Amino acid sequence: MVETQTIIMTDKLRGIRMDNIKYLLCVFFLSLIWTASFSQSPSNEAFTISGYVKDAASGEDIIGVTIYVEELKTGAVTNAYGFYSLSLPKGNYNLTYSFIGYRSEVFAIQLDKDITKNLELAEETYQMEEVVITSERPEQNVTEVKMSTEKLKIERIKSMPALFGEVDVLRSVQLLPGIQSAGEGTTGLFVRGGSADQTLLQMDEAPIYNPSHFLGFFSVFNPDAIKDLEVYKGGIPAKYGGRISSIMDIRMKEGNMKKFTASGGIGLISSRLTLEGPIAKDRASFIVSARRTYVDQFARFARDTSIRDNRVYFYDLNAKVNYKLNDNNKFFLSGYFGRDVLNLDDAGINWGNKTGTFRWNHLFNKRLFLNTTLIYSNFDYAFEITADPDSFDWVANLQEYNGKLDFTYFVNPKSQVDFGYQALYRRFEPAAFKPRGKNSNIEAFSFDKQYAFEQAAYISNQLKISDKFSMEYGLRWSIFQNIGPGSVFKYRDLENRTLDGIIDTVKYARNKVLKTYHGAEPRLGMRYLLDSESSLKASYNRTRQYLQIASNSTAGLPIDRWIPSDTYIKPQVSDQVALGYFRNFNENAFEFSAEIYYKWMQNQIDFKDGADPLLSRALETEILTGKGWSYGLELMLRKNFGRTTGWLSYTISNTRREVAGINGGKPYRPRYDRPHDISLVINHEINDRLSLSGNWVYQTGSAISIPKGKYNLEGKSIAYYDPLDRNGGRMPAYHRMDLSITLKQRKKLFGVGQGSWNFSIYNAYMKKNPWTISYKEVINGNPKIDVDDPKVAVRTREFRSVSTYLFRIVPSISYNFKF
Amino acid sequence: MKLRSSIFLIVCLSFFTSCEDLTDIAFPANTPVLVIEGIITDQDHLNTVRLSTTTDVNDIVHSKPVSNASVKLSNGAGDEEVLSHTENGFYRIEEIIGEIGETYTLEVSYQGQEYLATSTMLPVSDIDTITYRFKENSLIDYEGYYISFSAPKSRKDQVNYYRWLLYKNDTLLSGKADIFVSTDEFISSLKDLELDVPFQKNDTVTLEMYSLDKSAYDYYLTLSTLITSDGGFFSPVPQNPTSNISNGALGIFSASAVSSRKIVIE
Repeated sequence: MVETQTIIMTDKLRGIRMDNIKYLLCVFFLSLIWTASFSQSPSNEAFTISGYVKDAASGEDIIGVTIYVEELKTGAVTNAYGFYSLSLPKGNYNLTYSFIGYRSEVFAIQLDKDITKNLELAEETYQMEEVVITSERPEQNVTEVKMSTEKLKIERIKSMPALFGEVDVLRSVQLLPGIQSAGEGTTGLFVRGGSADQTLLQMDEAPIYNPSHFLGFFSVFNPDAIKDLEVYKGGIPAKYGGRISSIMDIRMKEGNMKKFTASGGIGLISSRLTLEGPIAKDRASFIVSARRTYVDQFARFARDTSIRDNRVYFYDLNAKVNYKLNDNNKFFLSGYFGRDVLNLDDAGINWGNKTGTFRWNHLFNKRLFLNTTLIYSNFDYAFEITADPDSFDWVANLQEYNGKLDFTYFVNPKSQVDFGYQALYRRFEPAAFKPRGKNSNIEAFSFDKQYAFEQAAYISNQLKISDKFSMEYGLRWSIFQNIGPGSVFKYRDLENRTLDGIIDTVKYARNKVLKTYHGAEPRLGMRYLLDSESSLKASYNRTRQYLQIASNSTAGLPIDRWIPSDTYIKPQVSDQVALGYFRNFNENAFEFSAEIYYKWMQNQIDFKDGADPLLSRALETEILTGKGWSYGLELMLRKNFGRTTGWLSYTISNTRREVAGINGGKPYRPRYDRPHDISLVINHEINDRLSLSGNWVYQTGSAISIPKGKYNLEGKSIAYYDPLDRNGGRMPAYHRMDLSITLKQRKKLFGVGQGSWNFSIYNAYMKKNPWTISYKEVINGNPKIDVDDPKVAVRTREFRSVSTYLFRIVPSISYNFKF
Repeated sequence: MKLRSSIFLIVCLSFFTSCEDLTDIAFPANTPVLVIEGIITDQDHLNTVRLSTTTDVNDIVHSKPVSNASVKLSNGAGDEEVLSHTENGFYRIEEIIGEIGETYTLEVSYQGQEYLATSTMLPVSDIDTITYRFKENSLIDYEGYYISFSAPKSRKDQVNYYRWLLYKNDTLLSGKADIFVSTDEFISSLKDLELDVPFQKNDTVTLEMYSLDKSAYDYYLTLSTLITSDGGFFSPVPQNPTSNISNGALGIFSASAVSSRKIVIE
């Protein structure tokens, strides 16, 4: 009794101290922002120049355009909506607007009143004779505070070699340093030692809960509908939250404001069509983009009825409408709908995402910008067996409703404040079974639904302290609540929870709070310019995550179960520090960066031996909790413009987990710990019609458990694994080269359009990369012989490791067109 | 697990053709680990205990029998029996008989280590009906006759666990795919359950149904997961089957009641 009281007392004390610390932190941040905002305001008269920068051809916003003020050696960058704002003392200035791949524009302005300057930049077209590289272009890579961030334009992804005629956003992103895949043909992103569910994939800010098509060989992001993407691996700004490892922000195209265009492609397995154009010129536009596979359409002609009746396909549909009411108010509505269907004989599964985003950009004045966003996301799957007596329907579903207010306040050229609030509501419906046929044996039942409410508020300040030193610091505060209706099991032994140990069930009514978690997430980034071409950067961030996938396999399956934090499953918390050196060479033609990071992850879950999390009614009895950590060095050399572009990257990293009850409590490697990772990505334009591209990757093999012995049970040979050596072995190293050639047609398509052929070879030198390795009895040295086949005369019976190879070499061809 | 593999199968069949190859991977050396397979049932002729140890992965021998262990079986009534070794690591149970409701304890002493396991014999229902039907060759099924059967739940209003063994012309089927275990947690009765093994004309098929306690059920389920695992990233990390034996021994000690039915395919 005394002991319990002491524990409660210390807990309380700890709570009070923590609250104090948080309070102090808040005061500290607020005062910093105060100082930043007002003490540094220019004393003499100041005016603001602001506006939007757009693409001259399509009218789409351009993100990340640098606006540089020659006289003050300062500048601004357009935000995610193409908006910029600069407050400068009264005077005459030369402003340079520049963006990679676009022709720079220089304007002389006389700033004696607030000015709105909207601008359209034209794409640079390379002519052999005049490869002009503007000198003194302030390079964002070096000058921005942001680090550990990777940007990819969709054109870059589209120029890469395809698999089955499909280029893929997530497969391309896996070529960037610090981002790994679980293995060939999986779309999950494992960023700096984090698992796939610790990366937030968002398209137009709507989360995609399952990005896979065909179990992960393709992703749901149709390249024709995407504009660009950005991945935050660390130094995550306070604006973003919800996942502890990484945020991948994908933006859909907005639709051409100038003219109507159609584009598309015909590939080996799918076709794509995109229509876009103005609804009202320069005011409203739309885009509709669709993709569907058609292998099942060919299957209809098969002679074998069992093949003919199969239905296997996926589709994606993206749509977006933009409307610009006036310079101060812009709206868009976008949606994504996608589905996979795999039906074979009497079994079938289908899954898909639906998302919707409504956004309103509003300018209160030249310096205060507000984004209001409403988001809906739905992921569901259904699994069915149609033949009695086992016939059933099984459905599961996860829905999210999300609202955000994001303010940006341009204080002065040296200071920008971002602040906002977010509220989201999630509804988890893990699984509901019901019998399907009349003679089904299956009893109808369903798991309890779970409901969660999450809120976050943040404030951050980008501050230029001197010509050399800039920083961005901020604080995000998130709060999470499980809400009723729901029930919580009480256990006899809290530490050692078992199904038999449930002593009571506490029921909660609708909207009652079952459990609350909250916490601060400080963020910090710093940049010090060494000279005009190089800089040092450092960052720290703490992130919190209130939901995760409960799965004991590495790669995602559509049936993976998302679960919220609850009474027993604590939110995941991660701290990361990163240090980087950034340098540009040859007048910014080459960008080089080197970053080191260290990351600590708390409340990481793993599963007890033999656990089946998918159908567990009390997951807390199946999990074990521990910690994880990861550290590494990422080197990147990139060439962004010219006829030859691409990058070479190398990552060396080390990731471990430590969970009491697994591997004897010793640290172990997760499967995706792959210390060495090299990517080479090259694209070369031979002339205006012909371009070549190639990728080469090398990765250490995945960490796997290797049997330590074997034994015989009831006539079967079985591998013995050392329980103290989890994932102690390695698959053979993985390497692969892909090549492609793109040829634009000389003749105009129907007199107006442009057509091009793409020939790709995946795994060009036919490396047999094991996809899986299993250990089993092999008869007569031939792994294809069925061990149980009585007709085979057994000469030898060995216990061997057998690899399965997925793709030896995959040539493909696709045709793309644009009108 | 079955579900995962079937989804995986669907994808593989529908889209990608892959190939298998032998690879050479360096295997660590093995310190032999004791393997215990003990079963006591309410049918004397099925009762047996077998002891062996693991061997190196590259060893030609897949299992080494253990003949010099001390093996003791006892029941809740306080009866004790020291089992004598017959041959090839088999130990014979002679005195203690299996009774429903009784709890049994197996104690093994080998090379200075003690291993202990207990299991309770739960009742099993009788198999009401057994039939078969013919299925043609398809993407999922081999051509042949498939057995199905019906039985009431062993204990009403409780979750029961079962294991089924199939004999073809008195030979036990012991292939990788022949581990059939289930729970009746999600079904109303054991009605028309079909076992996924093709038989041919004139085969005599014997079906045995074993009651299992939870730990034996978990063992067979994890055993099945292990041996059907493809080692890929859709599978969990391979683990030894969860055993009810103490001190790190592999295998199982299970007390089961057994019912059986026979049918000739005509």
